[in-house]
Amino acid sequence: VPKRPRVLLAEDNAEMAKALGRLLALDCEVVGTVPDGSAAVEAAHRLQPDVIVLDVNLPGVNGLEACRQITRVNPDAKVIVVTAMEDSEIRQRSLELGASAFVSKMPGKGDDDLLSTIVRLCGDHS
Amino acid sequence: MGTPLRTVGYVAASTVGYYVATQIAWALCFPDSKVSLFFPPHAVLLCVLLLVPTRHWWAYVLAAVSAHFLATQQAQWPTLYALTCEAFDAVKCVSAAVGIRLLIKSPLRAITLRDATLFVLIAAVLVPFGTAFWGASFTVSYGFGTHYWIEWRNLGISNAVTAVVLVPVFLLGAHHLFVRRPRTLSSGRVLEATLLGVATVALGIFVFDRTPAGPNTSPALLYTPIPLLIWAALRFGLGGISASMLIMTFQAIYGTMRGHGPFLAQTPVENATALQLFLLVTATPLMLLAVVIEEERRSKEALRENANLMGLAAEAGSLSMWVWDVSGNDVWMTEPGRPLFGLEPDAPLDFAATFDRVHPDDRAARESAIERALQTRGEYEVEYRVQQADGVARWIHGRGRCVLPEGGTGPKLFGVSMDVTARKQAEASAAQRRAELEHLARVATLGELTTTLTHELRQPLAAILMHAYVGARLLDASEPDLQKLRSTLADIYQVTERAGEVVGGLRAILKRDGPAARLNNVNVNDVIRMVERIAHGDANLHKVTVHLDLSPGVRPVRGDSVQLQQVILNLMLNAFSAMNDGARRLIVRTGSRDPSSVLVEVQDSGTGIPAEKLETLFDPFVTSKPDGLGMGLSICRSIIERHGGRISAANNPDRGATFAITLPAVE
Repeated sequence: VPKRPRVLLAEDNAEMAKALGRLLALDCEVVGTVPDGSAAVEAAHRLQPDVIVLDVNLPGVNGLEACRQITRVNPDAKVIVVTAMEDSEIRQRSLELGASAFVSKMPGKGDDDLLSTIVRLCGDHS
Repeated sequence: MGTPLRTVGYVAASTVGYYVATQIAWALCFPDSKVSLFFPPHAVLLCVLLLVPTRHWWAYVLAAVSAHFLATQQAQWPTLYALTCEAFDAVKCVSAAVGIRLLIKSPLRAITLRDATLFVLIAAVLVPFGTAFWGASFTVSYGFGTHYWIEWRNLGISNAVTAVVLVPVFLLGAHHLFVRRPRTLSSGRVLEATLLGVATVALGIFVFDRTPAGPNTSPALLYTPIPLLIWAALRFGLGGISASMLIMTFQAIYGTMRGHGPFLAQTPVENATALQLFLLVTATPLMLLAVVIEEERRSKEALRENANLMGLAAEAGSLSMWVWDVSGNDVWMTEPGRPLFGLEPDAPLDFAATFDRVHPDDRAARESAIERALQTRGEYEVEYRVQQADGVARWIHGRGRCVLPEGGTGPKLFGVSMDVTARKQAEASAAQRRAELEHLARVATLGELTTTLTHELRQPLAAILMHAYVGARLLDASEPDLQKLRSTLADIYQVTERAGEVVGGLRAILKRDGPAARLNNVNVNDVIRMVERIAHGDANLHKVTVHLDLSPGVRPVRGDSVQLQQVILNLMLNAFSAMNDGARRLIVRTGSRDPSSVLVEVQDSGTGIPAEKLETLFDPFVTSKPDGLGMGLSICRSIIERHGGRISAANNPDRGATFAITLPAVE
């Protein structure tokens, strides 16, 4: 049995966090769920997950800022910025700030959906 | 009294008047008697003292004394006796004038029965008979009289008759000459006065001058002038009776002196006394009667004027007035009132007639207001609709007062009713416009949120999609985990339901509503939670952390939840804009300062409110936003005040501002 990727999830909306958690649990091990950007930065450092999934809209320190802080400390960290809405500008910004991928939260959109992206990112390094 | 020269002129005139009056007084002595029936100088000085300022009294008294002294010296009276007489006359007049001025305050044209009675008491009883004690003693001691008590009586009656007959005539004459503007009399009135005058003179000649004196003269003759005197008193008041009495007095004295009339039965002194007593007892009651009649006429006039004024005010204010005699169930109403209540001009009026037309929804409120006023003998104020015959409802503002009249009759309700339909229509259209403005403001507020709102609305859709995807994946397994599947479906249900609530809330906010508020018992915590969901995305956009500190036991308020949401949303979005740096933290708190109210606080950590803006913050068109209209907070205040609450703002001690709303809690 291949080792399931350890994932940290940062999502402020409780309903969304629950749904994303359930989705991720299909193929991954969710090691933590945090509701805001600064908690994500702290948990990424503490838990050292394989993948960090950040929602763009986080209260306080938002997703992009958290991504910048995490990759600055650990340039190897695999950060996936997720959104419920496609936005090329934000995609561009997040990739500039060190994110490994910018994907839609919506599942089942071919090979570039969230689960496929996690598997792809982890496969690259394992 | 004008210039000093004028005063000197008046003093000179009164001196001449006093001198002439003294000569008349002496001429009116009975030929074979020292008794002066009548002492006009007393009336002259008393009237002068009543008419001139008291600071000039000394001049007029001195003038009178000089005139009298001159006359007595011409008549060769002993100097010392003359001087004593002058001192006596001065004391009489001054004491009467002091008494009258102190006790009678009404102007001459508005003398009351009390005033007239006081006048008679002072000028015809106390002063003449009081000073007569002194007058009689020096008359006897100078040898001009032999019996003290007879002198006392003669002096007293003489001065009393003078006061009653002459003083009113002089005062009214002076009043007509100097004070009252001349009044044109109707020809009927002039004719009546002439007729009365001629009849009085003719009867006077017949009774006092044409009737031979002697034991055969009937004493009933004395009563014949009475009807004419009553006529004068009834129709011409105090002036009429005074003038008639004057005419009759001179005729009586003239006739008696010529040896005619009913007063020549006994000795000259007794004849004189009989004449004086006749004049005194006739004049006094008739004058009091005239005063009473004038008083009555004045109060009737005042009533008429009042009624006219009230009628005018009622017309100007479109008021109808009514009185309801509760025990007799009798209603009196001014003419404009009938159409107001939809009543025919000649329909019989009772309280039920007004009740029947009242709109059924408003009857209970009107009834209980009136009932309460009747029970407490108090007032009521109520607005209600009246159904007109054509089916159109008119709004009436009614106001009434329950009065228990003196004299033991039952309570009466006095009221005014005003047609306020136009005002009500204006209020309704103002409410309609206000509702439209508030609706536009709500739509505009949501417009600001469009981007973040669509994002927030996509969240539950995305969550549902994820759950569905998970469900499908679970079913793909060779042995599907039904427990997990069930829980996933339950989550879909829950998310959908909550998303539906948000959509419902948005729909309510966007919906155009009528002017009437939809009042329900509202939990402010629910209102705040809903608003927080709507504004959540915007909070993230502004990097603001929203913290809800909601008291679980907060009591419900009576209100329109959409309007309350509008207020909270406005305050939250304002707070987001006010926080540009530092810790951007918004706390929405609920609780209560006292059991009867609910408190909502919206506390930010922004820039705070400039001190000069705190006063006008809630006024329309006050804004700190470059593209803001400045209606938001004004609308917030208007909504909160319509809910019976208050809204205020204050800067926090450290940074930022707190908006506080208090709303009355449902009992």
